[in-house]
Amino acid sequence: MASRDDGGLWVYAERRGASSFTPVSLEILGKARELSDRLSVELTVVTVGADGGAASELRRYGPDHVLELVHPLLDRHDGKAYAKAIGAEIQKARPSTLLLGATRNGQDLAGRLAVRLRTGLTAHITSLELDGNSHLVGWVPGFGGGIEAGITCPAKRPQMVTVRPGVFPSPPRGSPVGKVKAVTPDLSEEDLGSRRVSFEPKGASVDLTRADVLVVGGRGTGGDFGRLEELARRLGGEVGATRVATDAGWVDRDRMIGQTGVIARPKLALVLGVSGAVQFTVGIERAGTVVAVNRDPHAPIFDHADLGIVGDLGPIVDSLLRTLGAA
Amino acid sequence: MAQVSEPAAAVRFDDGAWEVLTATTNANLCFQCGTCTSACPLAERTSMRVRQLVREAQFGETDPLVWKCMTCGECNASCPRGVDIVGLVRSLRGRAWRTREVPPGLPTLLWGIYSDGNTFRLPPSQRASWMQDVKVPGKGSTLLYVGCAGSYDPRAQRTARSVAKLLNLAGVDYQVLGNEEVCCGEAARSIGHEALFRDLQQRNTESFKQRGVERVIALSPHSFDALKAGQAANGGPEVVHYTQALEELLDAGKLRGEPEKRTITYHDPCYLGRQNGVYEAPRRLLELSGLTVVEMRNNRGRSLCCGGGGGRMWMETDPLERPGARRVQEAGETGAELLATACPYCISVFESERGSETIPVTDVAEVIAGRARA
Repeated sequence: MASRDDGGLWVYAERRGASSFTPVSLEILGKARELSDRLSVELTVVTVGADGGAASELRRYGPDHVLELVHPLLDRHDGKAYAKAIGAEIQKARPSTLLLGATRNGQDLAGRLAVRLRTGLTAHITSLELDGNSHLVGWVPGFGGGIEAGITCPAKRPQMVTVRPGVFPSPPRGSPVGKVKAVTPDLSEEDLGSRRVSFEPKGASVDLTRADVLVVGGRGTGGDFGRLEELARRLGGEVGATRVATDAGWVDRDRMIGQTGVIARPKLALVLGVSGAVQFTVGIERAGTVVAVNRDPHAPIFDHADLGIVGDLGPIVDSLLRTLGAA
Repeated sequence: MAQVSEPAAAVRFDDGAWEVLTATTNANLCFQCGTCTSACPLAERTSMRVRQLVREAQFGETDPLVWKCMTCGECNASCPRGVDIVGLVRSLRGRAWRTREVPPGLPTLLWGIYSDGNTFRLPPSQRASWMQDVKVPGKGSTLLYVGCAGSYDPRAQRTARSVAKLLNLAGVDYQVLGNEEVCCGEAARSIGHEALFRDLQQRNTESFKQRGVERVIALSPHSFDALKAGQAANGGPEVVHYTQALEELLDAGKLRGEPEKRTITYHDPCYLGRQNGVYEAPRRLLELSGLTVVEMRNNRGRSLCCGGGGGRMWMETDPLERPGARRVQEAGETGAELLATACPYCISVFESERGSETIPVTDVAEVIAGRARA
């Protein structure tokens, strides 16, 4: 894009929910207001999402225009689709400048846009100023702080910059100003660079230090934790595991007992199929009563047990489940 | 909308941080050639890059990946500028403590060392339980320093008993501190708590002086390294590793072994080999006791770390980032019948990470104790 720009200054505001934004989005909006006042140009803030609810919040940070790109396919960051949607608007409006926050998504988007628009991008700047020709100068630290490089983009437009979070202050939240325009970009499934297969929020982690009863399984369980879970349920307790059992993927890492896992203090610990290396036993040293089951009568776990049972796990667990009955 | 994670805030140029860096380390000498990264065994398993870590330190920043370091010392050995990168790692970890940016479990470890004098959070009154049936002469100017692993870990207790039995067999008059022994502080130093390390070293020096100790035999290479540094700083006694002490006894004819056909391969623990240059004593021990030593491809100065140093024994390591299994495999490839080493951490890691089909793991002292005669 040659110099036939309209001189306008654009900021990309990255959404982080229905009507909130990454902090750096607001920081660059504040700085952009200052620069556009000095250049006497209009400030447009562009934001992207599946719904149009975000404009009213952005109006409180002093833009002249809010441009909302709304499309059901834009419900989460997708660099390819976002770049297509924003790139199309930039080619229509021809702003002279585009600022983005140097977040992971911002960096992803900025690189794609710069290639799409055949322009230069100054990445991760720590300060911004205007030179005598009103070109933007982005400062980037280099070579151990002995040098700061000032980078301009005199020949191409828009001049693009990503800004490190935290280098500009957040502007005050004021009364809403600026005109809002909503646009539905022309997008289809093929424009997406990624596909959402499923959405699985990280489950709430357990706190084994609070469990009164722990049923702990090791290598000797052979991975049969289903019945251990049933046993724990009937005893009103939780399942724990050794490192071997967590490494094997039988149980989640947050249930690992021992030196690099949980140091537990249950009233009762049932320790099943665990040989008893010290890196494990330090995790049950503070248990009230330890009951250990192991096939090997010489297993060191028996030195740490109040009650030891030598035998095969299967029949012993079965018999325990029968005795406890349905809970 | 997708959740975004913010990258680190802007780098700030901090003259204070530079002063700390130059006062406590020599990382200012680094000219960023990257030889350290190519020598680092973590480079192929993790995203930690030593060169980058040093660079960030020059900027006054601490890379959170610094906690992955096993302090194996490959970087120090390779650095053309002589930068003490292991020292830098400890210093950076020390700085992280001030803002409590430390991995989970480490504060518990430090409190355990502070209040119980050991790394296992077990009672000090159980410290001497390793001895079982072993009788220690209990006099003499030589002291066997057992350390936390040898005192509390049943696996390492076997090594401790083997060393004690060999010293008895050779007629050495030596003593142990028993329940009065405290942690050497190596774990505290490795996770960046220099103050606790120094405090423990002073307590050890006082114990040694009170008992007229002129020579300390350390069971673990980690204790050996820490006591050597600490005693030198406090004017304490000479410190050797047990492999060095036993080598002298074999050389002097006070212990003997009988030739046999078994072959054995020896793994150099980082804190005995690369960090302290003790390569030949354990090999000569095995040979003098009649065994044939075959070498792994990476031996002596190029030994591959088991993954247990640098406090990693107390931090969980992703299975894909653990180096131990590869080392056991390399040992198996020599065709040897046994893998011997001389460090309780190496044994613990190898035991936990080797498959059931692979070469058995043992300690040099246990091999010798099974064969030696007076």
